[in-house]
Amino acid sequence: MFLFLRRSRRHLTQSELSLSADGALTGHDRQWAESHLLQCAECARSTVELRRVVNALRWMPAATPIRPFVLAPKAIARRTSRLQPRLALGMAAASLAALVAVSATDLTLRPAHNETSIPAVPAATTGPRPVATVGPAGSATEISSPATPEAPPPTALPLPQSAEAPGTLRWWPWELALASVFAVASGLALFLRRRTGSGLR
Amino acid sequence: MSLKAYSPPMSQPQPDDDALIQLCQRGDHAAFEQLAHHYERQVYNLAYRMTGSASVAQDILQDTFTSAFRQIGRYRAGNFRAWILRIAANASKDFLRSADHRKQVSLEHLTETTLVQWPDHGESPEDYSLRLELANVLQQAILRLPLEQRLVLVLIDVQGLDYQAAAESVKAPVGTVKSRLSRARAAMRVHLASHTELLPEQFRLNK
Repeated sequence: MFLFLRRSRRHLTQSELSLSADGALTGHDRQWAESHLLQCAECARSTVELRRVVNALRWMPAATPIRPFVLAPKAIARRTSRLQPRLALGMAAASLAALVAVSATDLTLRPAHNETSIPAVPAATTGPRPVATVGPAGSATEISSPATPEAPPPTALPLPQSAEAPGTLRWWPWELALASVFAVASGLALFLRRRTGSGLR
Repeated sequence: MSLKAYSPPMSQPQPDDDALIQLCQRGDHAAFEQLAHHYERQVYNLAYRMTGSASVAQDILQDTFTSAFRQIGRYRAGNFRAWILRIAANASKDFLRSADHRKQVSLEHLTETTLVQWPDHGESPEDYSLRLELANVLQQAILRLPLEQRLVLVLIDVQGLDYQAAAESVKAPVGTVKSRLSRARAAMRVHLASHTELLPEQFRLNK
């Protein structure tokens, strides 16, 4: 009831006018539109005008092609089996999946670089920090260490030879091989797809 | 003067299309050419209405069927007309989005009505010239529509496809097709109302 009252106060929408011109409204929508068109001169006029537009479009003549279609020998020669692009695409997908799996496994098994490459420095070896002191006259500033003659001078610990900088990804030859297969197969799939035509999307 | 309602004699899906398609899928070139002749007029008209150029429409016709020939193996039973028109629609849209199209100076320049071959349906010369005049006015209005609205309008109101077949051709839901069509018709109505003096009497709006 509320819907009917709300509808009765409004005009037909653009979409309803179009469907009404086609006679494509059904059920309650059709009943409401028909009763509204009897009362509303504006919507009735719009519907008539839309019907005229549609009739005019349908009345347009159909042109004849300048030349009939002829299958060019080149097109016949270039016809490719539909299996080829799919095979190349499958190869690309398989090599990508293998590459991801291998890389993930490798990253999981590789020792954590942060722990091995930079060992914790013992507190005793660091020694006291240098302290800035101001001379008695306040004119000269010198930096000196407190008197700790027994402590050895701080030395930098060399990184182990096998350690890598954190965040670097080392690619093994077989990972590179998989990446190459992926690149070649995906390129081939794209090429074959383009060659067989991209009319369907 | 009375002008009888006219619907273009477009070829409807043929009963032997399925047999021809099966032959094409086995690589029969002659069968494909026969199939192409059933639909070439529809493809050509779609491309012509979309681009406004007879020579471009001819190129699109050739590209569409060449592409269809290469992809016929992927066609599964269904509406072949919608399938082939989808390829033609994509080819037309590709052209309109391409750099070649942007080189065109104006819409008026695109409409090569002099190159178009219009069939003679045995009507009087007066009716015939009137039809061509109306077609020219409508074509100018169609070319001013946004691409997706233009496509739906041409498929449904010019080619005579129903909503479902048009939805298959544009690969969109039926609701979207209805919405685009209503906007396209509203735009056509506004355009034709402002050029009413160019229309034959029975098609004049605001009378």
